[in-house]
Amino acid sequence: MTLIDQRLQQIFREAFENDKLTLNDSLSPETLPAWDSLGHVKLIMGCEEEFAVKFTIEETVESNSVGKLKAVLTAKGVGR
Amino acid sequence: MNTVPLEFGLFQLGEPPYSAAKVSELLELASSHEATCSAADLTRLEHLAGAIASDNAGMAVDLAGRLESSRGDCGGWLRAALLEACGQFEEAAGALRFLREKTAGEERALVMLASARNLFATGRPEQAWHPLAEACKSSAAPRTLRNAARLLAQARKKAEAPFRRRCRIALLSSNTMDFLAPILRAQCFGAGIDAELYLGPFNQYEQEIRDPDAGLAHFAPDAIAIATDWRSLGLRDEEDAPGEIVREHMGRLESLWRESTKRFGATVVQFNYEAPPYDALGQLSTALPGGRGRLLRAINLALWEAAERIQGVAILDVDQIAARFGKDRWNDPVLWHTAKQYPSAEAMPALGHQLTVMLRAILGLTSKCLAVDLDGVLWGGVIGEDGLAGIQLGGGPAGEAFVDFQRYLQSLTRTGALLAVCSKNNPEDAMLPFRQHPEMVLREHDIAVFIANWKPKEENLRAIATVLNIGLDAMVFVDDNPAERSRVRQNLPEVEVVEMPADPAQYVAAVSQLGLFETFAITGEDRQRAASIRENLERKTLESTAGSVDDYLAQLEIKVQLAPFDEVNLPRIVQLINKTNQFNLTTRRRGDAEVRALPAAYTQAMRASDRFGDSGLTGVLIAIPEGGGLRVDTWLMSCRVLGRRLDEVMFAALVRHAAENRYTHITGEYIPTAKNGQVADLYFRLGCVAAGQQGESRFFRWEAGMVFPAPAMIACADLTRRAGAAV
Repeated sequence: MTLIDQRLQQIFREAFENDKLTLNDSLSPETLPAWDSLGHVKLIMGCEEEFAVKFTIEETVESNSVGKLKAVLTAKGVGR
Repeated sequence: MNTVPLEFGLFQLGEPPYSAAKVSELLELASSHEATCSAADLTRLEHLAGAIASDNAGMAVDLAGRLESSRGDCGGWLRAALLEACGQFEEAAGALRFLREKTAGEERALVMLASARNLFATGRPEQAWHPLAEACKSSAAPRTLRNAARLLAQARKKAEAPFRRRCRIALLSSNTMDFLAPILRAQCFGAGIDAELYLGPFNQYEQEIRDPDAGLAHFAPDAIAIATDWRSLGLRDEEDAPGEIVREHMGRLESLWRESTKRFGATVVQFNYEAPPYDALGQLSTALPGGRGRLLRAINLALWEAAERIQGVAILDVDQIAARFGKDRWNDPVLWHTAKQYPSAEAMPALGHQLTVMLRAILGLTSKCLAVDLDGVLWGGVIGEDGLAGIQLGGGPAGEAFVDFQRYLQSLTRTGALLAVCSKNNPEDAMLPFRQHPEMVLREHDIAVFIANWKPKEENLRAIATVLNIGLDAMVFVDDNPAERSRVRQNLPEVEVVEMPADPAQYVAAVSQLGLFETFAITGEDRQRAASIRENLERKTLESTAGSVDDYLAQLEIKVQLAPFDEVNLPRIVQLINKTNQFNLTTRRRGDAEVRALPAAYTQAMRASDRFGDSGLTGVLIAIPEGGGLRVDTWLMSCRVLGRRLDEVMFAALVRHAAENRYTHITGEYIPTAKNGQVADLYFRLGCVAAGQQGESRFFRWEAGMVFPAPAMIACADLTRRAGAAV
């Protein structure tokens, strides 16, 4: 597991209050019931704090799967 | 010692999986960074441990083993994280125990949180609550506080958490409160408050308060926070009739407040309005009479004025909290547009902290005594070595910072806080500046207890608490020496230890930002407390020269006034109800609104004075008519006036009232607590007979018609005989 995945997994576990959760790219609001609108904001807040970045409104809205979230983070230079 | 920052070293190392050579490099890196572990470094190492363990648990355990000899904090922390990631909590506990105590901020919070988590995981919850509370107090990071709240919730399912006070808090708001809630819960836990939260539906605060079927009514709140924000007012840039808008809005809020205090007996915490940092009119927004900036300030002022009129309402100065935090960072337009969250994520701990400080004050948990060291705290240098002329105090930049701090401490005493000196010094050296230094602001009469000796400070702090008759959890300790602070933390975990900055110019901010001495209202007694304590010490001197107790009391020339509750004395009565522990028969805590809501009760507010001074309002009694008799629901006295037969004065007046108003009997009640053992047999001593037990309560009975003589040497003016003046 890469360090980024490790950090992201921890953010997911905290946002959705589930210590058993394992990260995979297909996770999305459809496959994870806890990923509702409130959960989504928790997730974005968690990412902003962990990676010291700021999401725009557009990035916040479009980051609705692990894959897309990682793409946004990469575009922001996370993981260099 | 390695000079490469750990962050850079880890970056160069790259990501796991690691070869044997890379593992050695990591070991080298971790053990060469002894004391340079920032909060970010701690988090980084934790992630790294997680990644290593998920790739190769065997390697993680092996690495942990090789780190065992590392005595540095980075090595110890990495070792603990590796072991935890592999589920070896007992072994991790050993590693965590070796970490040096982090004294402040996020590092302290992270280490404390990890310790707490480990202690819960290894089945030692009773030891885990303290580090968890410390984590909650030290952190201002939303994530750490959220994690602490989560751990708290999990742990509470398995063990009983220690709390000083329970409080059911309703958050009614014009924006989202879901994200603030866990942070507030953690911060309340740090302050000893068991916060049960109710989140009203989004922007329905009016309906919630007015509708008898709303969730709020079922929740039965002790405190209601009305968290409205400036956007909810819907003000235009410039309004034509600003005065009318203020009146209309205040009318609405005041009626909500009255409804809240009347229907729920709850204390209201009303948020005031931030004047937003950006406005189309710019500076004109405040310059124009109808500008939004001006209007928000006018409303804020009106809020404070109204809260003065309506009891049981406190205003949370959100505008000031935002300003202190920095309004640019306080506002996050993205979060507002996507989630209706206000303020920003990073600002939530600042808001939660101030709300917690206010709740603490409302619940009577305000700290009572600040014990200060002398050298390096009240002046620079060492009085015992440098002498009066050698210490830094006034007369220059460094000396002026100490004068400033002294002024701040003196101001604190005027709000009811007591100052004590706790210093390692020869007593005559320690006293010298107080008596002779021209720049001293604090004088002997500002200090309630003065201890200068060479004993360990924890012993002296205990002595101060005993003399002042207060709990250790009401004590705050200020010392510039980290070793002394650490020692007190170890030995007296109940005492609040302030982490003092190295620069005396920052002292005021360091103490002030904790909000430990914030009160809900300042009463006349608060302003007089320091003087009153001093008089008490003089009384003690007299006590040792007089003969019998009654001779002593006669010499004191005690005068008592008993009066029914009224508007003027109610704030002090509520304060006593909420903080008196020792002479308190039932320890029923009630807010302002709840006291007002008591059914036609016979009430006594007792004031006492003697030849040395006025002790002020120091006794409270509430008796409720029940089944033809009077039941003493509440009876308490401040510890300042105990041992002076004033309990007999109060009881005599109660007995006379019962007889004159044809009550058949008086029922006394005693509910034991950890602190009120001294009044367990009070009713027996007064001549009552036991009348059974129910749950915790023990009952006693006094038959009306029996005579109870009041102590002859005390002059008593009983204004309760002209009854009916109740609130």
